Amino acid sequence: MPKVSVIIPAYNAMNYLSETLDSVLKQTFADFEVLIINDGSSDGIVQWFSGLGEKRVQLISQENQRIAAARNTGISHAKGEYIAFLDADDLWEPTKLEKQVRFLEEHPSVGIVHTWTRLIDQKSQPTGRILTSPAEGNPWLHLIQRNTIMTSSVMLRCVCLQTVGGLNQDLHYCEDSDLWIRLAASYTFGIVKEPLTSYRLHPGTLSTNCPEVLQSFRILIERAFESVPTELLYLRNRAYGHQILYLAWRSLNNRDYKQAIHYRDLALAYYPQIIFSWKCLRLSLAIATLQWLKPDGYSRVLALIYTLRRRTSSSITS
Amino acid sequence: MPKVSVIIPAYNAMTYLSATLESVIRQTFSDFEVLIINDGSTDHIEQWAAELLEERVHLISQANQGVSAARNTGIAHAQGEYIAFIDADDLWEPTKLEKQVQSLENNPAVGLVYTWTAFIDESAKPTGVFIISHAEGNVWEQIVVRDMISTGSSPMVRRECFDKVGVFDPQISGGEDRELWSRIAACYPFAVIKEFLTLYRRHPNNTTKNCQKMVQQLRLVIEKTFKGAPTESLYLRNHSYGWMNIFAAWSALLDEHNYQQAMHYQEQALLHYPQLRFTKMYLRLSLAIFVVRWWGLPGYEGVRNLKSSFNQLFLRTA
Repeated sequence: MPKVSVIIPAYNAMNYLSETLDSVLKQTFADFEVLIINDGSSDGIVQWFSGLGEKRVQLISQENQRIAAARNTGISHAKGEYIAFLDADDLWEPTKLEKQVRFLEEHPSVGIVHTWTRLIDQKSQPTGRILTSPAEGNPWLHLIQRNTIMTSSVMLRCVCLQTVGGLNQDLHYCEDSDLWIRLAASYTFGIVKEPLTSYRLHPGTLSTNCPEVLQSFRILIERAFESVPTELLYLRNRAYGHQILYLAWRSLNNRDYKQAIHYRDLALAYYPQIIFSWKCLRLSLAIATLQWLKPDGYSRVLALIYTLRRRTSSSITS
Repeated sequence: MPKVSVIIPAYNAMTYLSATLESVIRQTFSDFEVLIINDGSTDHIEQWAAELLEERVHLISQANQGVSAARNTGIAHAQGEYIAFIDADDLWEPTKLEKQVQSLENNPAVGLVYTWTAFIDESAKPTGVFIISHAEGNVWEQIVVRDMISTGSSPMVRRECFDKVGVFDPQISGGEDRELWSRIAACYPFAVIKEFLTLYRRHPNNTTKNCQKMVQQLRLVIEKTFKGAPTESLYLRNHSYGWMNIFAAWSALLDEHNYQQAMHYQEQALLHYPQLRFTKMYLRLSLAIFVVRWWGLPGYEGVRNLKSSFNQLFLRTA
């Protein structure tokens, strides 16, 4: 029986899946199985898999049921004591599993451990941004306001999922956020404070259906706040504010500045104080850039910023 | 078939019921029936009703089920095209029905017409508190934030509204009228008669309310009201909670003499809706809390002064 089960849901993901799997197979910790859930892909995933020849990797194919159901299929097949999630286009640093396994062994009271995340572009080049998270200890109050946990960075004890249940399949988006909130009601969280996970951005590819994301978010956040004491009910506004501001960013990613403005204003209606945040100011600058320089100019400015950021961060580390 | 059905829910209400009924009988508009719903009273209401020599008045007795269920029994028995409610301790000015009927006849699209309200004491003397509102037409965005009707004895409703949106929710006790008006407001325009035709009686039995219970009940009302609202308007829920906390603070301060509780609600109000800080109502509340905190409620005179500023606050902002 392997110690860790790695679950990779894949839907027409062949662009990056090999590279992703490679980053798993190169882990310094070797006692794992990989479950790739083929969620009704129409690309050559089955053929690719048959040529793979790696005993620790299994392919499970099902009709397309969306990502929550695919992860649940993985969970139900998992034999490991620990479960690690990985999206088909994200990457791990070689020591990720080793450090997380060690963390869980050393902290028996911790149920779920995640890591910091590096943002990378389509060529796997870092954009220079690293996402940290304060979701440590008992992060329930934090998590109902905003999700700072990247799914591909999470490792958790299988027993926790048996207690709180898997991912809610009625949510088409934000199902991960919903799971963290439910876990936080019962379990302690830990963080390995290093960027051991890489999250891939796909700028300008119209990757996000913002209205649908918002709809799913509303379902999960309304559910999460149903039983919250009245004194804490005001935190719900902040949850909406953060999520909608994030959708404004996604709208920019879709190169739709009108929608970005709409979501920024809506975020402010929910949570007026957010106007003083650096995040909101940066958003307004980005919206103005897209509006005046058009998508091409915006992409060039973005590329320039990434380059500058990479240089400064590498000159700091060297 | 009468034009108007007047519904009076009565639970051990004999102290004021005769006066209430008389103010109905003396209406200048006379084509109505009165349905008194005896909601399991243990007083002599049945005997009293048997001695009434007024054939327009009917008594319907049922086991005690609460005010919403009693009003619903009235609606089920009502034969009129228009339905008006009056609580068993409130009064109407003689022209109330006439002016409301006229308004509905002249505006066939309008679903509900309300009037301004004056507060009276046990001996039917005005206390100097008035509820004034100019909200007409599509009032949904206003009524869900702040109830401008404020007493169930004021509205006259077109019968078809109940067929379309349903009746009072018997699960809610406190704010159940506002909850129903909000549902009507989502489908029908409102009209207002800008005269003090409804007299709302404040007496020890209805003024001393438990703030915490009130807040709990209003949470149910607010949550239900916004359940089906589009996410684009859902942020108004915060405004609604903001105002709810302002009123809870006033009630804690003046009814329960608990300035610490009042400060708690005041803080909550700002957490829900920070812009409230700039309203006159908030300023007045802060002053009142300040006075009570440092000088207590110093004797009758001080209390009276506070009360009169409480009154003015209704006058100016309601």
